[in-house]
Amino acid sequence: MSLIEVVDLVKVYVNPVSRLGISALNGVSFTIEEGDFVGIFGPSGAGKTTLLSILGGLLNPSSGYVIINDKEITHLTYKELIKFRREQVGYLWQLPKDNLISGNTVLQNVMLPLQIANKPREEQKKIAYELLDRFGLSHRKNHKPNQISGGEAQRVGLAIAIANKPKILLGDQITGELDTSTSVEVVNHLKSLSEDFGTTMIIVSHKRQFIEATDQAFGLEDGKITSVLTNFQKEEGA
Amino acid sequence: MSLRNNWKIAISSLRSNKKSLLLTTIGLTIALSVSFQMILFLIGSKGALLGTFLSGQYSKGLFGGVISDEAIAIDIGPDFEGVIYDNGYPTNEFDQAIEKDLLKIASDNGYNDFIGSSRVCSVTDITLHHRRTSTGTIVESDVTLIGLSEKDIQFLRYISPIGFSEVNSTHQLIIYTRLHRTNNIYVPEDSKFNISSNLAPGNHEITLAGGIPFDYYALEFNYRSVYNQFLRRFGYSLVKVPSIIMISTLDGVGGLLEDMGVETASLVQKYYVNIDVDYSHYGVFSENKDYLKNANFENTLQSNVLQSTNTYFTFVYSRINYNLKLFYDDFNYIQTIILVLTFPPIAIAFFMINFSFNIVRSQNVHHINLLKARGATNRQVLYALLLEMGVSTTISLILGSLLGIPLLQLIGKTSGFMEFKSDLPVADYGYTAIWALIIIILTSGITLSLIINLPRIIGLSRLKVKNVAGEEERKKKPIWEEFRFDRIIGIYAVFSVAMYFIAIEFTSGDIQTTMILIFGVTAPVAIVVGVSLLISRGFTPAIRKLGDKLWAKGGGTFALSLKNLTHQKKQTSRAVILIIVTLSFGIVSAVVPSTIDFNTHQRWDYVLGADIVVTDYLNLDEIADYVKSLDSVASVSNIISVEESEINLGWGKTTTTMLGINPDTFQDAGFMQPLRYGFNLPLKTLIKKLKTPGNILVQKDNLRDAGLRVGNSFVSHLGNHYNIIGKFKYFPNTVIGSDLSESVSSQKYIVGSILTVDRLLDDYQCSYYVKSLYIKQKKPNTGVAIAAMIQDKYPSVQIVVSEDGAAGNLEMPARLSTYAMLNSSFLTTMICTIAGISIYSLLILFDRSKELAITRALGARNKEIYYSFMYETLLIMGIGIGIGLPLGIAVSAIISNIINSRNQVPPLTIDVPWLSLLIILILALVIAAISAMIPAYYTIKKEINDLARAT
Repeated sequence: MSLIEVVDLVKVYVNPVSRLGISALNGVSFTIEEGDFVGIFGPSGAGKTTLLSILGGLLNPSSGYVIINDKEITHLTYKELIKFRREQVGYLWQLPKDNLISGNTVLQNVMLPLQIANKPREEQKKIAYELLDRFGLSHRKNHKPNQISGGEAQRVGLAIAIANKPKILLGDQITGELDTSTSVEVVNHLKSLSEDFGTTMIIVSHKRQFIEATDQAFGLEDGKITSVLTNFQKEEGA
Repeated sequence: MSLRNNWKIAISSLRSNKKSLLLTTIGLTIALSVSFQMILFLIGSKGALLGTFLSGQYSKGLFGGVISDEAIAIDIGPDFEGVIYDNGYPTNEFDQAIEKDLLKIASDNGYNDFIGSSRVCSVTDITLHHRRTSTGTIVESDVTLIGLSEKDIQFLRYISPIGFSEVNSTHQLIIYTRLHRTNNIYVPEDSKFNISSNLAPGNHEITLAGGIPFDYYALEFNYRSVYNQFLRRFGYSLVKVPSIIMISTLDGVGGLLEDMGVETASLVQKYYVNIDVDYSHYGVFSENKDYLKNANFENTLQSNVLQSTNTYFTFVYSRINYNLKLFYDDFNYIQTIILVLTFPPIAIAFFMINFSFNIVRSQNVHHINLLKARGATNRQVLYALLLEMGVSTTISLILGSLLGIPLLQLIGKTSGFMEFKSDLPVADYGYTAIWALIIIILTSGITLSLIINLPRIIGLSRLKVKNVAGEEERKKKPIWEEFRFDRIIGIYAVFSVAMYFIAIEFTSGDIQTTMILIFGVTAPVAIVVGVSLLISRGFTPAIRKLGDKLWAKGGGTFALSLKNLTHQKKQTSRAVILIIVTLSFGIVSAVVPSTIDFNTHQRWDYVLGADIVVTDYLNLDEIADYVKSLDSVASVSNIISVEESEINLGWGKTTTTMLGINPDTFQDAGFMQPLRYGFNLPLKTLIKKLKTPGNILVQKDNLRDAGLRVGNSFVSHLGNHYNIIGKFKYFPNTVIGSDLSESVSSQKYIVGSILTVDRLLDDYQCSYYVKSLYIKQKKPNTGVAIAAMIQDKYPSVQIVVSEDGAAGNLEMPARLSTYAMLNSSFLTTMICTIAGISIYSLLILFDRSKELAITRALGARNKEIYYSFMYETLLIMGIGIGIGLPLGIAVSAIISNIINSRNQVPPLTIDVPWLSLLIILILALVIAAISAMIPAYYTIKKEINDLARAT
C-alpha cells in the first residue's frame, strides 16, 4: 500500500467578482511510496502550490480525494486535521522568513512546533538543540530572523518543519530565493533527512538540483500531470 | 504541561506582535484616560456634586467631581420655621438645646442618617435709617439681623469663599445690602450704631456705643451667587424684605443687639431649622429608594418635632416635602446631564479600542496562519490572542490612569473648578477615592476590552488558513452580509427613534422617563455611527475619482496623497469614522450642556417673574395702561392674590388661597415645567380652558380633602357656576417680591383667570386681597427707572423693584465656569481624535514601509513624502470635521430637545460656543499636522534598505 494516494483531484477557484471559475487542478492522480523523495515541477500557475496545500491539509479540493497513511484527509474533522498537521506533515515555504516568527529567536522558533504539540519542556529543548546542531545553527540560536542569512533561515525552517518528526515534508520552492551553492546545501540536508528518518519528501521546484535528487518527479501543466520522471528518465529529461 | 506550552505559544505570539501591541496600547491608553475622567467624575459626584449643584454652583462639581468633606451634608432650604418671642438674645446654648432634642428624636426612631440640624436666627423688627446720597433724603428701612450657626457659616464659606471666610468670631459681621455701595447707614438718634464709610467690600470697623469694635465686611448685592445661596439655603422670606441684611454668628448677633440697646422684650426671633440628612452615600443613580426613605424619615421627624418643640416655638411651619420635591427634581436633572456627558467619552473609548484592534487584526493574520499550519488548535491561537489583549489592556489601564489623573488635574487647575483628594473616603464603599478609582478602572477597563474584543478574537482564532504568505480565505459576501454592521446600526436607529416617539405619545411616569432616557440618548448615537459608516463607504470612490483626475492632469504630491488614501481605503475609512464620531460626540458634550444651561437660565427669567411689582387698590387698570405705554416695559400682567380665605366650595368650608392671573401669565408660568408642578393637563389646553370664566384649577390637596374630581362643578350661594377643570401639585414660584412665592406647598390653591377670581371674591366676600401688576423690563437694569416713572405719576402706589431684574439671574461666573468645563470636555475628545490620527499615521508607516522604500528608491524627494503624509492626514481631518461638525450640532439639537422635553419647555435655543469650537478645531488641525510629520520624519530618516526589509 502506498503512503500517499491522490485520486482525480480537482480544484476550482471562483473569482469573487466575475464569479468565473479558474481551474487550478484538473484531475490529478498519482501515488507516492513511503520514504520517497518526490519532486513536482512545472511553469508558474500550473497548480503546484495548490496541490501541495491540499496534500498538507491546508486547502480542500473541489473534488477527488487524497489518502495518506490509509486515511482520507480531505474530509477530516477539526481534531483529526489538527492531529494530522502536527504528526504527519511538516511544511516549508518559499520565502525563508515566512517560516519564522519575527519576534522570536532561532531557538524559540524551533521550539514552537514542539510547544504546539505539547511536548514536555525537556524534550523540547533536547530536540531543538539536536536539530540546530544538525543544521549547523547552534551559534545562531539566540539570533532573531532578521539577523541571519536567507540560507540559514531556510535551514531553521527545515528544523521547524521536521521538529515533530513528520512522515511527510512538503516544500514549496524552498530554494527559490537561494543561490546555487546554498540550494545544494539545503538539498543535501533534505536527502540526509530522508535517509535518516525515512521522511517522505514532496518538493515543488524549478531547480535542476532538485529534479536530479528526487526518486521520481511529476511534471504539472495546466492542472494536469503531463510527465512522470523516474531516476532513469531524469537522465534523459535533463 | 499543556498550560505551560500554551503560555509559551502565547508569549511567542506576543513577541512577534510588538507593533500591534504598541498601537493597541496607545489606543486603549487614550481611550481609558478619557473615560477615566468620567469615572472620576461619577465617583466625585456622590454627595459632593449634589451639594455643589444644589447650592447653585453645579458647574463646579460637574466635570471634575469635587470630593470634599465640607459639602457632604447639604440639604436645601429650611425644613422648619418657628417663631419665638424670647426675652433674651440669641445664644448658642438655646440652639444646642434644640439640637439635642432633634438628635434624640432621630435616635429614638432609628434614623442614623440624621446628622444634625442647623439654625438660623433671624431678627426682623429692627429699624435703621439709610440715606440716599444722590438725593440726600433719609428713608427708614428694615434691617434683618441674621445669626448663623458655625456649621452654616462653614457651608457658606465652602460655597462662596469671598466674604464668608471673614466671619469666624462673634465680633465680625457681613453687611449684605441691596442698596448701592455709596449709601450710608446710620442710626442718627443715639449714634449707637453708625457706619459712616461707604459700603465697598473690605474690612472696616464699626464703633458701637458700648465701645466694642466690630469688624464688618460688606458684600454688594450684585454678588449674585451669595444671594442664590441664601435663597436656596434659607428660603426666600429671609432675604427678600429688607434692604440690608447683617450676618454674624448667633452669639455675634446677640452681642450686637445688646450693644445697640435693643429692648429684649420687643424682640421677635424667627428660627429656621435645617434638618440635615447625610445624603453623601447615596449615589447619583440610586436615588429613588433613598428619596422615598428620606421622605419617610423627614416626615416622621416632622411629626415628632411638631409634638416636642412646642416648648420652644409658638408656631411651627414645615416645608419638608416641598424641599424634598425640589431636591428630587434637581436630582433628575443631574442624572440627565451626567448621562449625556458620560456617553461620549465611553463611546469614544469603545471606538478607539475597536479601531486599535482592527489594526491588530490586520497585523496578525500571517502569524495566525503560521501557527495553524504547524498544527496549533483554535484554542492555542485564542490563548495567544487573549494574552496579547490582556497585556495591552493591563499596560493601558496603568498608563491610562497615570495619564488620566494629571490630565484631569491640569484641566481642573486651568479651569479652576476641580479638586481631587485621593485620600478622602468615597461614600459608603469603605475605600479611599484612589482605591475606588483603581477598582473601577480595572473592572471597567477589562470588561470594556473583553466586550469589544472577545468576539473578534474568537473569530480570528477560527480563521481558516490557505497558505502562509496569503491572507485568510475569503469569499465574496452578498451585499447584505458586507453591510451587516451598518444594517444593525440602521435598524437600531429606526427602532430607537420609533421607541422614543412611542414613549412620548403612549407612556407616562417612570416608564416614560426611562424610555426617553434610553432611546433619546442612544438614537442619536446610532444615527451618528450609521451616517459616518455610510459616508466613509461612499467616501473612498469619491476620493479615488478626484485622485485620478488630478493624476491625469499631471500628478503632484496632493494627487499622490489622494491615491494613497484610496489605496489604504480600510484604514482611511476607519480614521474618517473615528474623527466623525469623536468630533460629533465632542460637540455633543459641548453643546448639549451649554444649551441646557442657557435655556435653564432663560427659563429662570420666567420663573422669577416680575422685575417690578406695583400694588394699588384703586387705579390698577389705569396704571396698567400707563405702564404698557412705556417703551422700556416688556410685559404687564394683572394678578389678584387672596390669602387664606375661608370659602365654601359646595362640599363644606375650606381654607384656601386664591390666585387670579391672566392666562398669558400662566403661560409664562407654564414654562416652569408643568410636569414638575404636577399639572394634569397639557399646558395649551389649560390656558385655553382658563380663559373661559368660571373655570378653576384646584390644588390636589383641596380635591383630596373634598373627595372631588376634575370635572366636578359647584354653585356659589349667589348662583355663580364654577367648574374644576384641572389639578396641580405645586404652584410655580412665579413672583419676586410677593408673598405668593412663600409657603407654596403649605397652601391650598385655587387658580383661575382674573375675572373668575374676581367673581369668587365677590361671592365669598373675601376680606383681604391684593391686586398687583407684574411688570417685566425689556432690558436689564432698567427696573429702577421704570419704577421711578410710575412712582412719579402715581405717588401712592407701593412698588417693589428687583434692581437688576430677571437678567440678574444669569450668573456670569457660574456660566463662564460652565463654558470652561464644556470646552475642557470637548478638548479631551479632540485629544482622542488627534491620537486616533496619530495611530493611523503610524499604521500607514508600518503597512507601507516597502511602498515608501520603493518610492524613495525611485527618486522621490523627502519633501514629497513628507507633504504626502501631511496632506493625507489633513484631508482625513478635513473630511471628518466637515461631516462631524454639522452632524454633532444636529445631534446636540436632538439630544437637547429630548432632555428639554422632560420639562416640556419649548422652544429651545441651541447654544453653540462657536469661538471655542473654532479655536479647538484649529488647534486640532495643527496638532494633527504635527502628528503626521513624526512618522514622515521617521520614514525619511530610515535607510531605504531597512524599510524594504521591514516585516
